Amino acid sequence: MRNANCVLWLVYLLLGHAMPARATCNTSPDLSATIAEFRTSQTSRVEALIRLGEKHNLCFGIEYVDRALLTEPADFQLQNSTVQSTVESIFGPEYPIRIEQHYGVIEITRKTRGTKAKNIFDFVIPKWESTRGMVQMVSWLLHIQLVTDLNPQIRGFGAHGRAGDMEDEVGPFNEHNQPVKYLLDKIVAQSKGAVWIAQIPWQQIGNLRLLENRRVWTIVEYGGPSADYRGLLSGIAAGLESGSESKHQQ
Amino acid sequence: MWIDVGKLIREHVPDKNGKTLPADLSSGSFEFRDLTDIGVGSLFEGKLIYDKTYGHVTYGCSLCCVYNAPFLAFNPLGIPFTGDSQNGVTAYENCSGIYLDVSNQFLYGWHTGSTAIATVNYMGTHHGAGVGSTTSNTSGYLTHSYARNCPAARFTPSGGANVQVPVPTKVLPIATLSQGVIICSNGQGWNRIFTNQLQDQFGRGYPHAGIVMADILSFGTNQLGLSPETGSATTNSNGSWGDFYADCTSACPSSGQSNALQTWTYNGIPLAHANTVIYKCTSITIDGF
Repeated sequence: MRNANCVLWLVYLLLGHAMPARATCNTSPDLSATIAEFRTSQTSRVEALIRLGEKHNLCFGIEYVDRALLTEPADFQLQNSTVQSTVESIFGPEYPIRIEQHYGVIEITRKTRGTKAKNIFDFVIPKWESTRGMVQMVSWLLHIQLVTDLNPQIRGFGAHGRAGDMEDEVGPFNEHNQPVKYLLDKIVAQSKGAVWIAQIPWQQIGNLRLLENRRVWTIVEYGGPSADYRGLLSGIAAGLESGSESKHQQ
Repeated sequence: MWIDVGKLIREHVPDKNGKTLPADLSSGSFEFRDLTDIGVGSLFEGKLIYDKTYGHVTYGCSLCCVYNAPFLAFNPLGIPFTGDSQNGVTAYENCSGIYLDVSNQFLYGWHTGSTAIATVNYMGTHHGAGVGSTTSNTSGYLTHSYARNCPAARFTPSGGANVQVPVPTKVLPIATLSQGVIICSNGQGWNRIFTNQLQDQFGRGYPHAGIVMADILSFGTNQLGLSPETGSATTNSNGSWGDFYADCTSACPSSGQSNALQTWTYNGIPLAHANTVIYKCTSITIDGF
């Protein structure tokens, strides 16, 4: 038995050293689990969330964004806080959020009063099929499906965008009657670790016309502690329409 | 070096192209050329064997290949501030009727008008020391006369040298990472992943990470009926990034193409150069690459 344990440890060590130090999504994250310590320095709130995710194998879907959330730097230092409290602290009281979990992905939406407004990410796609492929390509295929469902007159699409991690493949998918956000969750959940982020300010989240010439989300794949997300998040912020700063509007 | 032409004829020795001299060959002209020592050279034609047994031969008479009006390969030469640029010398050679690189004849002759703006080493490698304009000069000897001893003359080609701060100028693809067929809800198409690179006015990568590259596609000819979309990416420390291009349309797999002009901004600043992207059912090219 002692020998068997030694062999198991050897296998563990060998595998551990062979595999890249790369986050994957925890398929059933416990929002009440305690995080002993989390700190980042001079990162935006969204980048802080990405750092939290890649360190603790948490994948996110962030529907609630504006320019400040993506670009304004701040320091975060939290101790002995649950996952849910940590996420809420990162956003802060000025950004009221609702946290839900679907397919292992922690979705972050803006907390609203009264009836829920129309939302692109709630649009139900009757049928979506995709071959297995790299995350960014499958994400684009979902975009095509959404736009085609909204406007069947469109014949084709000419795409150009960030390639991302070419070795991060997801799928195949054969989904029926699923809202866009759940499909994004499923893509992210199969990835090596990622977050999907809305590319429209929350004020415009019901404006389906935005889909005519742009993608309304992007998927950011975790690149590890040395990855630089600032440029990417600045690019998303630059694409947001003006007026996104009015975060206190109800 | 000795060449027995009679033996080459008798034994049907082929040349590098596999061709032989005719067996009944009795006269003809010939030409020697030094392929490696261009400019003045050290080749000298010797006497031919005079053999009464097999026929007449005459004393060889040479004709020199001469070079005319050498000039700098780049004029003006663009030099990045704190970076390097290479210049050279080109001259017309009358025997071959083409312009040849004669830089080796001008080694050690290089100097600039102002070392505060640009310095140059013996090989013609210029270094940008300060922003501004100066002159780049060199000197060397080339065969210049048809006289029997092929005399050389001294030449002093010169030109301008402009030192500039590198600025992002264009985006160019530098590699293909993958490509293939893609199937989508509309039909099918092609996808190709390039490594794109932000380059400066000297054609060098602009090595700065975190620059936000955003683009807009606008279609001219659009037989595939493609709808354009915007995209963005960020540069790595080499100024490059992986870029995904794809088309998917009900028009495929039949023939046809859509041509798009791709305009770029870097951190919101427009780039002068726009790329031509050609989308087809089985290929995607950027500026012909």
